[in-house]
Amino acid sequence: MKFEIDKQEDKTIFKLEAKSLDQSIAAQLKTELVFLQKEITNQFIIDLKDVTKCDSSGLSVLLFSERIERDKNRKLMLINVNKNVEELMKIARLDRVFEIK
Amino acid sequence: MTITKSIEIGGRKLTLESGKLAKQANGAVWISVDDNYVLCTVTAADTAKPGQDFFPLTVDYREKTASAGKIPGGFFKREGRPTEKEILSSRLIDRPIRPMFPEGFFNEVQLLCSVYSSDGEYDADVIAATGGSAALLISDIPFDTPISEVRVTRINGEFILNPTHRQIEEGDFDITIAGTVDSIMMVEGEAKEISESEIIEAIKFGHKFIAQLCGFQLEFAAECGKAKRELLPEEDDSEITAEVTALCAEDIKTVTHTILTKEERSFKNREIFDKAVNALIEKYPEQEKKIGNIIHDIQYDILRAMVLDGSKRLDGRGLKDIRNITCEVGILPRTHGSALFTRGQTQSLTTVTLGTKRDEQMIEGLKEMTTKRFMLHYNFPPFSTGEVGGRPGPGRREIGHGNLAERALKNLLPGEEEFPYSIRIVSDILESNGSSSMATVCAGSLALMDAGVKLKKPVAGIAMGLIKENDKVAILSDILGDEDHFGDMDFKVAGTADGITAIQMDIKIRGISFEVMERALEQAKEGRLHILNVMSGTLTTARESISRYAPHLYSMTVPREMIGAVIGPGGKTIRSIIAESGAEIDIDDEGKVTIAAVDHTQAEIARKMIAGLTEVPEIGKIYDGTVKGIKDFGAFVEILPGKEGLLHISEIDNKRVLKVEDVLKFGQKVQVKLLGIDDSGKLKLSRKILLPKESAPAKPKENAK
Repeated sequence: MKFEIDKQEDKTIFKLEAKSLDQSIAAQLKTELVFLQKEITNQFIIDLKDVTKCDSSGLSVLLFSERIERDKNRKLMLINVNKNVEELMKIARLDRVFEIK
Repeated sequence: MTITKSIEIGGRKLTLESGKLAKQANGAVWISVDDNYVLCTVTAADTAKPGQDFFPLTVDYREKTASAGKIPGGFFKREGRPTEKEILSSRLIDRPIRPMFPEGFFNEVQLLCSVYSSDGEYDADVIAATGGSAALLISDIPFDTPISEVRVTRINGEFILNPTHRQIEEGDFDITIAGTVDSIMMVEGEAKEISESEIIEAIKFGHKFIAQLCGFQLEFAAECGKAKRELLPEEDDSEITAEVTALCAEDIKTVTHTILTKEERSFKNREIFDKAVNALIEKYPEQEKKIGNIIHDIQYDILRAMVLDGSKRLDGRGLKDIRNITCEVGILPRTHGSALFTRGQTQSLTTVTLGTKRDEQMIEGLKEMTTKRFMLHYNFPPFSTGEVGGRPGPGRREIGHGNLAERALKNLLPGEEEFPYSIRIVSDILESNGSSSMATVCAGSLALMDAGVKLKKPVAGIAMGLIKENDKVAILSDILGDEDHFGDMDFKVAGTADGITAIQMDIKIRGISFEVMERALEQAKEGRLHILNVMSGTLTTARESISRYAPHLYSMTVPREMIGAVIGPGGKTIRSIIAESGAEIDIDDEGKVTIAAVDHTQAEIARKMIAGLTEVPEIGKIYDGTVKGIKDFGAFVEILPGKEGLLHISEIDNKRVLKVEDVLKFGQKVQVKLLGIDDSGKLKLSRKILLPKESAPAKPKENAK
């Protein structure tokens, strides 16, 4: 699994460089996110530009990440969300949970 | 910490709660909708048993009778073996959940769903499935794709989510659908002859809510889910796989591409296995199972490739071809109806028995006690596949298959008004190579018509398979046992020429589109019509009359106020009629009397007795009565069963009677006329009035003596 972390003054962007956010990378991604999100205090953003497919394990990781931000009284932001992925979030009524930009 | 989360689904509030109840389970979820509460608990063994090579999952859905404020019937007064309903619901939960565990996870897992409160209006099994999935999702057990389940019906063109029992009865169908956020995993239900596209519409409607419920479970799990346990890394078996492949692949390919019977094929496969074991066992001691699994995987790939690329099947058929079918009816002289249906190597010997109201099955559950007048029992003895085995009672599979066939036929049976019999079908599978439940539907339809049951239309069923590899899809009609095993989706569709009456789909992979599903259903329809056509060569409509060995039913109606008179105190009267006539008699609350007798004269005796009981005495009518009591002032004569009148001493004879006993004796038959009925309903009788008037001269003579 490849990813890039861009730490800026006011935000941290986690760019996932994978086509499919699914079971094959879910567990690993979750671990990475936990460590990263624990240490940052600014706005956390996940960039899903490369992701064209997502399944329930993928959704589960994003929800988990949102949960960590919520505990910090922050909101997780998702950017460059592909249409298919957004569609899946919509039918599962999860689009309201994230801030999608 | 207790976590509670709610969602509105189909206008009702569904709540998941965890952290308060059953905390020692690996996962426990308390799911509720309105007044329905189900506790779903899941536990898993820490390790797999050595040598375990299948996934030992047990799912039990239990309805606590206390949940509906009831004490169980019977002597023991506690819930015992699961009821048929509980077994069927357990299967509805098991089937979509089972494929969601990772491959190679063989630890024992037990999911228990117990209904603790029920409003008696809704069936809690679908929320139990959703709760069961949530319990697995938040546990440490490797299960990360939630499934949800809904039930759908349609009334007046409008879909209804999770209908009440009453709405289901009224609706056009009753379909249970389970799926993940992006795929359908299971469909099961019955319908009143609806089209393929209507089924697809219903599934689409249901899936919207399934997706929401899955999203909701994921949210819930993000709040309270435990960390998942580490899966044991898979052993590196590339070396042994390469060796087995080098040794066997060619042979397997040859066998797969040769047309063979089931027995020949399993013999050849056995040879390949033995050869591989002999060659490799020294290098890989105690790895027989492993070798067997590798061979199985090679077969899997070769078979699927053969079907997908060449459109050729194990027995040489094309994808849409149906095996040869033969039908025979009326083969068992003393049964009320019988049929033998053979399709390829699958054979069902089916009988129909007609019974009376008394033979109906009483169903005790959480809703009101009901009775069932149509039963279908399916038996799958070990010899049907040439195996040796014990014969315990019917297993869950047999109950499930029987139920599907029962649902396929039940909506086409004549109504109780028209045909007041209880009906039992028994299907014995004598040979099996795939699709025996659908053979049962065909044989059942033929046997019913053979028994003279005016089935509205003949019904047939077909089992289908589907193999999908990326964009390539092959849909197979009338699948063999082996094809069922290697397919990605298997589905069974039963129906008439005009529509679907029952459907069951199990999907093992994700991502089968509605479009593919619709194509598959269309191909199933073609197959069904073909089978109906073959069946029509044997019988097209029901026989004119029922078997002479079946009970003949006669019905009559008595006024409602007379029901008590027919039954008598504590059932005394009705029992005496049954004893005297030899017929069976049932009377319902509306005054409808059903008389069942194999012999017509028995029925006639009973009919006369009941008619007598309920006849209203008519003034001026002459009755053949019996003396039932003698008093100083006259005799009591029974003119109709249970109806006595007074024959006053002055009305006995033309002559003056001094003592009643001089003329009448107890039990004597006497003809009387009803003179009148007084205000209190007492009957006044006369015998005198019927006697020839004695000529006047006679009297003086007597006097002269």
